[in-house]
Amino acid sequence: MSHEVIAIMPELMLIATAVVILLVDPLLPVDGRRGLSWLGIFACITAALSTWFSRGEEFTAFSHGIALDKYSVFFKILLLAVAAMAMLISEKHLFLKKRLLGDYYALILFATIGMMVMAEAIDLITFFVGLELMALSSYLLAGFFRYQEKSIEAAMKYFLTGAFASNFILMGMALLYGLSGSTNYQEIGDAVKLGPVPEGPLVIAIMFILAGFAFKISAAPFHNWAPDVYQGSPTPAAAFLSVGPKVAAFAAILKFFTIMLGSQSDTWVPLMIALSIATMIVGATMALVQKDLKRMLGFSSIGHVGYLLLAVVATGDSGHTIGMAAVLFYLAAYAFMNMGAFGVLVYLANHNARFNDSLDDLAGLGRRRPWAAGVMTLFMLSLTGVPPTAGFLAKFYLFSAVVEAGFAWLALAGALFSLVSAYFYLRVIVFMYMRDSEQVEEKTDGKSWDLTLGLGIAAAGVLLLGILPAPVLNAAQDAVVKLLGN
Amino acid sequence: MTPLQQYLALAIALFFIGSWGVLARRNIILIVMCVELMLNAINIALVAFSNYSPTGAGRGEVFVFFVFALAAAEAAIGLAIAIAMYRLKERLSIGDFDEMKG
Repeated sequence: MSHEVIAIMPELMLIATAVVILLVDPLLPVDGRRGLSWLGIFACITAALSTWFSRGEEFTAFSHGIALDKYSVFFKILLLAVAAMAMLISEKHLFLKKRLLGDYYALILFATIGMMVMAEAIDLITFFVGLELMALSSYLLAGFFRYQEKSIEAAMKYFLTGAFASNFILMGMALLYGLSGSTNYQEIGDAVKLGPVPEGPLVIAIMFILAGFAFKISAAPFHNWAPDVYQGSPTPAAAFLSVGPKVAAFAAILKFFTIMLGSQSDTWVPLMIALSIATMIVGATMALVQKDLKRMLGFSSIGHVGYLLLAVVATGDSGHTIGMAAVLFYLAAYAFMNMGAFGVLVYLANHNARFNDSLDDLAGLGRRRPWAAGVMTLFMLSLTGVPPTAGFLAKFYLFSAVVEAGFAWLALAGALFSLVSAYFYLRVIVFMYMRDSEQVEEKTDGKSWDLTLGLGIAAAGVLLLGILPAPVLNAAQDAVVKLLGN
Repeated sequence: MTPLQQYLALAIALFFIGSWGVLARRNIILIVMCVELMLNAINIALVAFSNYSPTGAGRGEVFVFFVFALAAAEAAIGLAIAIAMYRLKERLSIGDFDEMKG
């Protein structure tokens, strides 16, 4: 097989599966469609295996369009795990809401392909195609319950802000192309570093790109859409949307701001610091007053973006590999814990028709549903950053990377905000175990082994990353060394 | 030959007219049109850069093809959302879909 085919083998598998799902779906009765999620999960597993076996390879394909290296292998496997978990937690919920359609799985697969391309792209055109494939599929996922007003509102807000943000990134990329005469990351990096590039337009290009990415990762002051979108989307889709696009966007941000714009860190580091502080403030304070759990998790994810931006700042000055490795590890931990937290909400909605995602609905959960309350506690502790969970180690590595890069005061601010955020995470636990409720559940038959398996994987991921971080941490470090080396 | 700056001035002007429209308009179809206007501004910039670039000639034009494809897909999805909005409430103004706040 040629190099080209090996490089995109996982994507080809997902495309083939998505097309098969779309073709087969209309022929199946509703009950038969329940197998479609396993078709998608099987595709994710084979794609992850195929990625895993190509981990030793280092080459570029499609005339320097994509790079297959340890960095893209890390992100591809992480994104495939996210997609598989999203499909596991979705199936029963869609069935109960009478929207069990193959399109949903096909959209998740298409979005995942887009994210994988974003992570492995080393050319602006390739990156752009991946970005839009991801974004367009995500808008549709947000509006998948199209008979619900909230879902359509979420899709509309996501579409408008997303399209607007994409245009800003695109304008920035057009300017970079004009300034450097190339669309290849490395060539742009060299041109920006060595060549005579006019200062003003370059700063404008950086600002366009940074603003666009800030929209995409919901960094303050461009965050307003995120809580609305997560609240309005179908809960399993919100789980996917709050993790996948952010992981992929950070994969791209790291490449953009080290390979291409590493020499311009004087320009973007102060902007990034401002974004990061604003994002941490919004994430920590706005989540305090939320009554809706999905909205609260939305603001919590904004807070996590703030911490991640701190580590991006830490990569800036001299290309510290430790900062980048911290971002990768944090993204892996974040993927499992956020997926799990949303997954528990899906579980509760499946079992209780009266559950409407509010904090009060959790009262007395510790007695009514000890298992669900137990895993929810685990995910909340991890989001807070309590040992021995993944969240603790992720924050630990991240803040120590920030200190090492010489921004001790920023790390201190980050630690302070994560202390504030402990309040609303622990409040969930207090409601579950220490409040009684008169509410009577309206039981529905929500039993689903898929969902249980998905929650189990997320919980196992959170614990494993917290207790045995070495394999993932080493993979993260290996992944970034080469990226900065060339 | 027209200098590059004039093309860029046109592109930037169109881009900001488009983004003003996105922010100021309330009707989703008009907003989708303004998004397309922004994309066309980017296309002008890309083609102009491609024409004047000594090293990267041609890549801008290739880029524009991809932007065309995106613009078509984005319009399709924007209009699909508009249809879903109209079926629910017989309204197309984004102000009528503002249930979630806070």
